[in-house]
Amino acid sequence: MTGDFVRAENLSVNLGGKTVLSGVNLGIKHGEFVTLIGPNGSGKTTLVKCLLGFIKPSAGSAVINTRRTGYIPQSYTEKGGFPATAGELIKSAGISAGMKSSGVIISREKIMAELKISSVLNKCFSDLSGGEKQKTILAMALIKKPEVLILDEPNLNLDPHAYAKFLKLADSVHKKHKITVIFVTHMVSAMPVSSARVVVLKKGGIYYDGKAAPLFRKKNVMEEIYG
Amino acid sequence: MDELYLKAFLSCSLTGAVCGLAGAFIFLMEIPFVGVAVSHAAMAGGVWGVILGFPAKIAAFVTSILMSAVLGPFSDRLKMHLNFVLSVMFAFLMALALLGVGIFEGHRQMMYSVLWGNVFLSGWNDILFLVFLLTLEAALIIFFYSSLVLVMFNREMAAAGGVNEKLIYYTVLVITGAVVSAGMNTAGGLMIFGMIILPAAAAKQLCTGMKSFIILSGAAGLFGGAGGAITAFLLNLPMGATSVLFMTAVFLVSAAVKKFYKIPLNH
Repeated sequence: MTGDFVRAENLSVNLGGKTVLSGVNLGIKHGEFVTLIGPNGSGKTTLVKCLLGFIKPSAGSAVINTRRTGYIPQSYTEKGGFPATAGELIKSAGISAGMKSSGVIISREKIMAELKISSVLNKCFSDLSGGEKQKTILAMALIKKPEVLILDEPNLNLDPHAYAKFLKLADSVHKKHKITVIFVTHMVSAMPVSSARVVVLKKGGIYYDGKAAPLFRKKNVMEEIYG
Repeated sequence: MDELYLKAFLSCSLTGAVCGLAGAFIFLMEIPFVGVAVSHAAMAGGVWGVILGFPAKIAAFVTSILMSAVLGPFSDRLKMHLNFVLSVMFAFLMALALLGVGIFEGHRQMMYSVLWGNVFLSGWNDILFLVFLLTLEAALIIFFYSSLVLVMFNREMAAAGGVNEKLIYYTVLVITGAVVSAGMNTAGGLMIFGMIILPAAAAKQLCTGMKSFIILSGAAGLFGGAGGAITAFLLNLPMGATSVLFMTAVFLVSAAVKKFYKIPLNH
């Protein structure tokens, strides 16, 4: 585990007097595609926020061995129409990560073309469709050339069709950019099929950690995860 | 132009500009009542400063800055939205101010001047301070533009991207406190709310891009302040209220332009 790119060791978190995570051990190697799955309140987002340093653990540690981290949170701003274009947001993400303005413009063009959102460059973010917004946020994460990409419940803002497209995109991004992907979801049906490894969180601990196939061959898989 | 009027005009115009720029961020953070809350902090600071033997203006300014400096950390630590923290502080500080006024009745006039403002009391030092604030705002926007955009969009995404989002966020709040405190001479604690929100609301009608939104918000504030001051001189009206009414007119015109012409400004 010490050589892992992303790791949590004996991680425990208490929030408001409630134990959210208890003694979690998790190691993720560079380039892995890992799905964190579990019912609501199982501690998935807390685990991710500990890894990102947003929440301090009560005990143990959580580390990502790089500063180049892309994060797509469960919810992003709506704020009655955020007055920024998709292009401005992606450019700002690049520049604030230390890229030069000219380099950012070129990278932005490439990434927007890859994600098929070149047409929304000058459109206001709040005027975009759910799928375009999600892709814009993905572009904001990718422009920094992250080594780790964390997607926290990206299905929440998308209809099933747009989500299916987004899953394909996440898969191709993982393969093309060779980055570690941590994909968080509470729905088995929302799990990316390309995910080689599944980690099931339940009641603040890891219930299952392994390949997806053996888990889903079990007859009572839904009961196992949500019961 | 008489020096008194010149100072009043400059004070009103500059207050409009600094409030317009700060208002763009207040609009993005969705904390419109920060103006009213900080002005009551100033009132409490002013009243208790005098009671304790300090100059009212400095005590009012320091209290405003202190309040806006603790807003962000309180909100983060307590995991409460800024608006709730503002409400608690507003109630506490208003009670503190009224307690001071109730105990020492002689300070009632001071409370009224904080609430209603008097632009003709603005001196060259006040105007220079407004120029300093305007420069500070412009510098912050120019040098930290990308980080500001990200922090306003989503603080967690900004933090994950390596931006010192807390420093940026708290700095914006402190500057907001300074702007409100400095602008109270012109508009008073009640009207400053309008001078902060109206320019940003007007700019939002016409803009779909962040740069144009910030620039137009500042410009609408400057235009509203200057236009309000000139209108107040010509019609012999109170300057703070006239400026806010003028800015309301600017907002209505921009809303009409959006409705009938539909021309968004991107850059």
